[in-house]
Amino acid sequence: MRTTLARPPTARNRLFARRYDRCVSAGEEAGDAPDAVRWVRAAQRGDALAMSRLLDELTPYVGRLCAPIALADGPDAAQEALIAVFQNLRSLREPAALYGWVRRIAVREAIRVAQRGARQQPAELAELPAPGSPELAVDVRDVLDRLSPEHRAILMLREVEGLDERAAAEVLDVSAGTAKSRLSRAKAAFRKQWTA
Amino acid sequence: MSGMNNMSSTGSTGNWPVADLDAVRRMRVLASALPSAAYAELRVEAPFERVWGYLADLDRSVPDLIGFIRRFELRTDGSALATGLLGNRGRFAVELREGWCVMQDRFVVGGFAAVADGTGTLVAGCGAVRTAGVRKVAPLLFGEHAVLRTLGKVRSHVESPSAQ
Repeated sequence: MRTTLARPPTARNRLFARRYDRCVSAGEEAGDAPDAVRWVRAAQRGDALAMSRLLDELTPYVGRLCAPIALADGPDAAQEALIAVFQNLRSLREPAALYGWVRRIAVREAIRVAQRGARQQPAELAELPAPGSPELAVDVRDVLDRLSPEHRAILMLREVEGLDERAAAEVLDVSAGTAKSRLSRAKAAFRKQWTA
Repeated sequence: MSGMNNMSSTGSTGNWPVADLDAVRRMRVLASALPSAAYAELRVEAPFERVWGYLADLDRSVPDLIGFIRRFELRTDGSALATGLLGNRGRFAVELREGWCVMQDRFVVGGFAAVADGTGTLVAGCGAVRTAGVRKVAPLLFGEHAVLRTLGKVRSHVESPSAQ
């Protein structure tokens, strides 16, 4: 299936990813904690309804992180990631760090699930099409399907989450040099698959 | 949560694919987070609409399914008043959406979820005790076998000729 979309929703997702931190910095100090902070604290005390609200809040974000990496196994990866998040929620001391913490867990779980699914198809690895270029008139999913989970992860962190190489390296728990070379190869692979 | 039955596949938003969770997957996550939770799933040969039509009628289904609850009255404010076999009462907070229900009072949590599965329905049940000291006896009340037995009652009800 091919779609024609102008550009990836990078800016929107960056906005989504940062919303929580802005809410906290603006809300907590004013004594008006955002809903997610209250839900985290209540969920840490065992409140099942707060857990359900937190699931509502986190599921779209985790789904956006996991699907580009795990592809067909995206729902499995999102489920595994959320289980890891909720099982370790009590260890989250600072709710303001929620989204960054969830992102690390989700990306790692998605890579793990993708590798387990044996859908790894390493590709040779140029440049990612510029936003708005006709090169994005392809189904990203078709192209992602031909990349390894590690390459999909670094591309997603750069293009969906808008992270720089250093931040992406932290999420992936690799050196900045490894992240840089991996991104370079991923972009080259993306370009090659697109031109194929 | 409309459309939740169809939410387990990978969809696509913009250029990048997006994954979502259906109600049963959500219940797996919730059960994993509740200390000492008992969880089970059962596939029943009845359409989702019939299964959920029964389960969502809490005033009827809860006393049917939970042996120690004699009466369950859902109120318009989202709470419910449960009356036990001995006349004891408890107030539950209830979250009820299509395919998803979670109920909790100070001591216990109960929930069930359902998604269409071909011509049938996959039903999940979960029970947990919120009070640490009571968790020692939790398996008696909310062990996996107890949840499966409850789901078996759902199956018996929705697959019976009178329910069709």
